Amino acid sequence: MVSIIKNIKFKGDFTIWIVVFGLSLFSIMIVYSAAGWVDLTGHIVKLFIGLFAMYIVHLIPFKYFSKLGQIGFFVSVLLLIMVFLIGVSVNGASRWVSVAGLQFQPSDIAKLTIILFMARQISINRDNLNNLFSFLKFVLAPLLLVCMLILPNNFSTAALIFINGIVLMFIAKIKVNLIAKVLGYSFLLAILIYGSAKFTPFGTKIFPRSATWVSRIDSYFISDSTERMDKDYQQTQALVAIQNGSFFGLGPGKSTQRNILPYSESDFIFAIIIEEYGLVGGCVILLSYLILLFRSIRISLTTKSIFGSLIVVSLMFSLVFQALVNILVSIGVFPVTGQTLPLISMGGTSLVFTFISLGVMLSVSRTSIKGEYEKA
Amino acid sequence: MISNKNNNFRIIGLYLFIVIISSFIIIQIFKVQQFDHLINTSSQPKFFKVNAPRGNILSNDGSLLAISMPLYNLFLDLSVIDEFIFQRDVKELSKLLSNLFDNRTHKEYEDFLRTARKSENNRYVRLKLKVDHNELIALKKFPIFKLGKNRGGLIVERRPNRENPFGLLASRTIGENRDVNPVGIERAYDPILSGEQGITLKRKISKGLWIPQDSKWNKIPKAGSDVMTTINVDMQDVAERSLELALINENADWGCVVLMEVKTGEIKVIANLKKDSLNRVSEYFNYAMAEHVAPGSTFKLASIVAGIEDGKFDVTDSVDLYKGKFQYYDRVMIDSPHNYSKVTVEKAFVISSNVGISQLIHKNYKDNPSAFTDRIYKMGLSTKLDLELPYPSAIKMPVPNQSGWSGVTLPWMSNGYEMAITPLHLLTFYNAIANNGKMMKPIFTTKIINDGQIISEQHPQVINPAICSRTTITKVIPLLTGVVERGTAKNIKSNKYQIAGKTGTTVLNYAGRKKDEKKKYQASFIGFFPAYNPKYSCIVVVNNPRKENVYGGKVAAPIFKELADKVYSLNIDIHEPLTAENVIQSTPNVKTGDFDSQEFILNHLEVKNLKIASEKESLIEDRIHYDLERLIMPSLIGMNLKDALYLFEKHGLEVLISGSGGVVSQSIKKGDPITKQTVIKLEFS
Repeated sequence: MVSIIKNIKFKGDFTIWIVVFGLSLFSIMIVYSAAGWVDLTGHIVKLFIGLFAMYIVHLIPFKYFSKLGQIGFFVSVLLLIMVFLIGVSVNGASRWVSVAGLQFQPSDIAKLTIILFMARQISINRDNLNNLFSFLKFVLAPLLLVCMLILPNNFSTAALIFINGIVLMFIAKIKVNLIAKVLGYSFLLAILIYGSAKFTPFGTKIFPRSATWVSRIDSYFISDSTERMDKDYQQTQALVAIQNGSFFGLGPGKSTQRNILPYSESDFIFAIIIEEYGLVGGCVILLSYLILLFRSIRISLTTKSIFGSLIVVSLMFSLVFQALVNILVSIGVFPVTGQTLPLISMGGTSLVFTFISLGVMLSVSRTSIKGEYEKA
Repeated sequence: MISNKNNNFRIIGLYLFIVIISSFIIIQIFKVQQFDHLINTSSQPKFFKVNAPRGNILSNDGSLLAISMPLYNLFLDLSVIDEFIFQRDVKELSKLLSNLFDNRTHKEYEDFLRTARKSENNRYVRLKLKVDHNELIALKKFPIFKLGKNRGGLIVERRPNRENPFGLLASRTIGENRDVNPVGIERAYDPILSGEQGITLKRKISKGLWIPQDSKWNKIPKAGSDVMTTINVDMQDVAERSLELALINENADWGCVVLMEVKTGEIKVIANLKKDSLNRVSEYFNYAMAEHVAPGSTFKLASIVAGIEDGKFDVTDSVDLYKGKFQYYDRVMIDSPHNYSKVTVEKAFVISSNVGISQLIHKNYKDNPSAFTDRIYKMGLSTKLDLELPYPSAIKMPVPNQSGWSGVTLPWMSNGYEMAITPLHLLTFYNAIANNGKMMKPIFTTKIINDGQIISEQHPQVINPAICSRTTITKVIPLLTGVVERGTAKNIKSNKYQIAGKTGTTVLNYAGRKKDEKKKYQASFIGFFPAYNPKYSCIVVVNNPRKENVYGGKVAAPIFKELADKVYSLNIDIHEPLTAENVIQSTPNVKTGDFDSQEFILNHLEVKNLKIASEKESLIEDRIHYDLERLIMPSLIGMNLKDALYLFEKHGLEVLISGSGGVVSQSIKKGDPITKQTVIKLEFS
């Protein structure tokens, strides 16, 4: 037993390990505060599964993630199509797939694997990417495919994945005007699909579900009064929590808004953090994410593998950016999206995928520390 | 295009971008906390308590005595209904609402819905209050409403409501759970009946209006448990009816009846009725448990038991009645008119002689009155009954050599004066005599049931395993049966079973009566039946009867008898086995009805039926009238002469008869048409 424990070695970037452990512990405290004992045990179990998965993944040499990413990408596309079709058959979009009794969202896998796959495509085809056609074929097409599959069910996740993709292109030093064109055209395309589906009969003929998309997008932007009121209500209650917290907070476990604020253990957990730990606590959490991003950039800059340097920054950006979106919702800047606060929210299986992506980053850092990198 | 250079300005740029957003977030939080106006906390959502459905109170056979039938208040959030759906379905909905509630026309409903929808406060419009469950279920199937709360806009709020399906039956004992002065089982078992409160988050949408809000902290209330009482609805009903009738007939103020099961102390009947000057009768006060009065002659049993127990006298000893008048110091004791002098103790008891009983006690105990009172105390007559239903105790029992004790106290005490005790308490004492000396505590409930599961059971409780010796009891029971056989209550003598009991006629204003004031009486009867191996004990008290009858034997005993008869008929197991001479030898002829079934039953019982009519038809009166009205001949086989004549006269038909008894043949066969002129010949057996 002792020898087993001795053999557990936390390799890779030590700071990331520390911050992740720290945030996980904090997560237990705040989820207990927001959700109580009943939900806490499940959360702790998932944290342990996540940490275990992270440990295992970080032991895998990162060159394998290139191939794994490719496989993962195709699997996730299949799963997304499956969900899409099932969603059609039951006339209501389902985001969930159940495998061996575990429920998870294929979009969680897609979020991870699309980055691995795009990074692989970029690093393999990096000499051809000036060519518009190969750029479209190797890089943009997979991204758009995934986004389009997620879009009908989950607008905000689709948007996040799209932004992650754009950022990946950006740090991969793809020409800015090409990226700008992508942004411009996708915007135009979106309006076109939306417009044709809404105002002409063609859209609905090409995409049978486009009518649903329209109504969903409509309801997102121009939601009906009840939904609007509920969302206002949630954000108002979040702001009350933030005001309650003031500078130093009410203290651990002293939140009162947790009783009133819906989703206080997931979507609005940041408001509870501010209520209990104040602005100071909020700053510490923000700083933790900034440290994580900073460490990932350090790793990326020391790694000689292009694939490695791309995935480590992209994955961490994905994590941190989602955190910021969640926080911006909590403080009433963004509309309610349903994105959780990575590593802290009580967030089911998506938590496990967050830890897996951290494992991937640690694997890259482990190799770069050793100085033994291999071109992928 | 991709360089391997490690310094990557784009990444640095990205990092700065994230740092800027983070800074913005911090500034934004700071701004919200320090500069934004504080959100009004008085309209913040709050948790409200939700009362659990109250448990039911059941009778001993599970009939519902008190149940919670929640009613619902209905409101509409008209803002959530889709315009298209509203316009399409509003007419239909209005029609259905009008049909269901019948309080407005469908046009009025439609106008109401349209106007309310347009108004500014359309999120919480009152539709109807106090809607019952069935109406609610119907309502939820209506167009628009069936879309659910979020799209149909129907807001349902429960309100507690208690109903007593048997009306006034034992209502004072079942009780009432009100804020001020709660009473009865509802009060005593309130914690069990009320269950566990839940909580629900509600948000304020306008002044005074809070609507429920989902929250993971919402707690569904836990339903209260049911309490199964010992009350028997059938017996209770008989007791209340006969008591009510007696109160009105005797023009009395109030009365109470309590029936107790001898072995267990279970209270099967507890009726408390008060009559007002308009002859309206209601359960107003729990007289049986809380009215402390001088019991009068019914207490004589205790005096006799005490004397025999102490070996001071025996039932066969003789006592001088002084022709019904005797002076103790400055007070004269009188009996109901009689002319006896020397009689046995038994005789004195049976005719309820005050002089006789007081002589026995006075002679034997005047030098040591404590011996007598101690004996009375030992029989539990001075100790407050510790009942599950709380009541204020004002029990009074004289104590020798204390203030208030004088030479006349002992003789009057022996006749049930100078004291105050509840009817239930005295019944408990008689029940102990019936139960071979074992005094049982009166109990009102047997089980606590939750969701069909028995949670706890109340078992019979013994107050005193022996209040006196068994020999004493075997000596006094003939005295009690004597009262019914040949004494003050011989009017209620039953030839089916034997009753043991004692009458009581208390003069209520004995001491404080002014010269011209009329005497106020309280008539009572207390006893048990069957006299040997008794099953039930019972007390009947009628307060202030103003008609000519004031005696316990005349006013209270008949109520006892009526209830006892009913109880006797309900309890096959207390019936004496039929003796051979009583066995039914034959039954009257079977003439009508379902012959096959009758034959089966009669054969099974081995009862010889002399003659079974040949035609297997039953006389259904309605059918016969129906046929005759349409001038179709019905079958009259089996009908007796009187009925047949009446029938034809009523329908204006002519009939020729021969013989008497039951119809055996008719001249026109069943189903044939007849006219008013037709003469029908009927032959009777």
